[in-house]
Amino acid sequence: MSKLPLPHPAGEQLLRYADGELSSRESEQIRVHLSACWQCRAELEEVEQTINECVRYRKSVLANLFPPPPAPWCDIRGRLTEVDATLGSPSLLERLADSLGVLLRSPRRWAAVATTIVLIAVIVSELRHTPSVQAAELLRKAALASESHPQTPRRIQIRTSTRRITRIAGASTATAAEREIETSFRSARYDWDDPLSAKSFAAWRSQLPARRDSVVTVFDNRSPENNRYEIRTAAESGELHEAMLALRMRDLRAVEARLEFGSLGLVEISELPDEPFRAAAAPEAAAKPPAAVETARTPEKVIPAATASDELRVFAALRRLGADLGEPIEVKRTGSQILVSAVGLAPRRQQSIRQELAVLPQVQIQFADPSAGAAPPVGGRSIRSDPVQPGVLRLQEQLEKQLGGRASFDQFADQALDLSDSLMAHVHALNRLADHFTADVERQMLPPDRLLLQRLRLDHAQAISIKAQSIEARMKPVLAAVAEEPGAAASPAAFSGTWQAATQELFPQARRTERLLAVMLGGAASEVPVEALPSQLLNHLTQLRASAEAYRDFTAASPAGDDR
Amino acid sequence: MPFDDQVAQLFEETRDDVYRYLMTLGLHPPQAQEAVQEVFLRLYVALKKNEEIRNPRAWIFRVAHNLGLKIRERESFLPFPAGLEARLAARENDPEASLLEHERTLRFHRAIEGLSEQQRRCLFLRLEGLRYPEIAQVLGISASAVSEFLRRAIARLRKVQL
Repeated sequence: MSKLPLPHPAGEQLLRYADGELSSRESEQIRVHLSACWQCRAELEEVEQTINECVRYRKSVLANLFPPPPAPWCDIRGRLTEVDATLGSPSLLERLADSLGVLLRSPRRWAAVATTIVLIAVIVSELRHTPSVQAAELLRKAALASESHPQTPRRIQIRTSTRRITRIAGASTATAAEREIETSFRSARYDWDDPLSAKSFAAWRSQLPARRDSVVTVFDNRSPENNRYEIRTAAESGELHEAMLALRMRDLRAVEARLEFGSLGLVEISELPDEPFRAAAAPEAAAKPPAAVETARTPEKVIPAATASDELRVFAALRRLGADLGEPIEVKRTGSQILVSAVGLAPRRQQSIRQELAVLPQVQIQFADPSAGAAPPVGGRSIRSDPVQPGVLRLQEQLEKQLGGRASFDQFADQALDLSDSLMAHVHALNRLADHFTADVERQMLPPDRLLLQRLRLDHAQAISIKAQSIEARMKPVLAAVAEEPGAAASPAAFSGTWQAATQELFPQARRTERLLAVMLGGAASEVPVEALPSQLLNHLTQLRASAEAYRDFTAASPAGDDR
Repeated sequence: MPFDDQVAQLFEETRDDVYRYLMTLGLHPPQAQEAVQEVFLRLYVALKKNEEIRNPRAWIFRVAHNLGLKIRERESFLPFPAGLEARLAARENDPEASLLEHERTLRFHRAIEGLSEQQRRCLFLRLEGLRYPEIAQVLGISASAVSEFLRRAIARLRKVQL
């Protein structure tokens, strides 16, 4: 009657022992027990055998039977370099995380974007200028805007900790108090004649040996006309330590400046109300050419014309939000503005779009209430509304049998139609890009803009290709079983010429396939003989998949900077 | 080693495993592949932000798991293992594998399918080399729960082996 040193280990103890998950003391106890107990050793052996079986399963079943990755693996180093570019400043990264967050919270968008996150990172890097680029860009535009103003002297108020002075910009310095301030300005190399202007600020900023910039957008909810950008630049040396210039958003007019001098302390400069004749300002004459303005006596605001580049940035912002896929959002470039309008967007959606567009100058947003008009359905499908044709019904019954019942068929059909919807949304988005950025417009654009446009296109092209693959992969086995003829091999379109023309070629193919899918799965009215439907659809799916791949490769390959 | 070399090396070594794991979660190949690439970009970002990552492999699977579930939530996918059984059955005619072996694999596969979702997840993560506390972190459960799920999984799988 020999007594075992310890009781048999509990159920999961042996597994944890085998997995090295026990403390050394526990482990030692089990080891001692095992050397004494055949029963537990045999037990452990069986556990190990089952583990072996699992490993074998992973190797032979999971590794062999799952389809291999559909595309070649990406060049990870290239992608990492792109990430590096976005990591230039931490806020960029946060922005990226935020925009992904938005996408993740929004189900339909996620579907579209899951495939393209990587590209978004690239686009973000392109667009999310670092603050210094943003500051320089804003200042440049603001300076341009003020140059096209008729030069009416402005009355400004200058406040220091001890004094308050009113002067007319450009007028000669009169009082001793003014002279003292002037000295500080001069030693800081900040233009005293016109201190409240983008030009002076930019001139001071650009001569600094080292500086830090930030740009914030300030919203005034009660009076949106006061919305403004605040550019802050901190100098690392010199008499002027830090300066802030506020530019009114709607016309980029410099409306306030705060300058922190070493000796003088804080100096605040603001614009005094316009003189009577300015108060009765003429209505916006934004689009008037500057020449006409110079002859006019009444001061009118002239804002630089919005460019294709500005418009492109709006599209890129919408792309980041996935807001270019089937949402009723219009983008229109008119004179000095990019008008972004939509009807019936949810308030949260409106807000995120406003936020995304806030950093872009010259964007005018008009969101209307749903009650103001029905949102036009974009790419919407109307299934199950027509009575299903008897022939199609029989086909569907065959599919049901294959898929194991009505419920499975419904699920299958929904997924395929959703994919097709989402594919079409990308096709529409591409089409829209082709409309807005015609070959002529594109030729005028700068290389970085063309590159950005190419990235947007590639983003859609990849999504289309992946979705086309996915639909084909789902439908093929099912259709092959009911098709009268086997599917033909694909003869993909060989795209050449402009991408705008290529897009026009792709569009009808996608449309046609969408239509056939709706007939087959959704019971839309068919213009094709029912017997021919499965094999036709099969051919179209194969064709679309091949064309989408060709289109994607065409997009990726075409050099963005060339003039075709 | 610089971060980009580290990530590139891990990518080479781990991507196929992560890809397969995402497929076991029910993702489709294109989504799984995109997600894999996304995971490694995130790893790179995390390294650059000086996040402490003790076991990169566990980190990768944790992020992949969460991303995979998010993707799956958004698009209703077929449950695990979509189409696998059909492919497995099609191998019957494979002259390389004996009929007996084929049946054994099929039986084992069905047993895996028959596991609870948590059991299966614990098992697959363990198969990818994660330790109990790491699995626990991925699934948001305790390490002792992991060991209990694994024990039950092993016990059930054991029954199908003759």
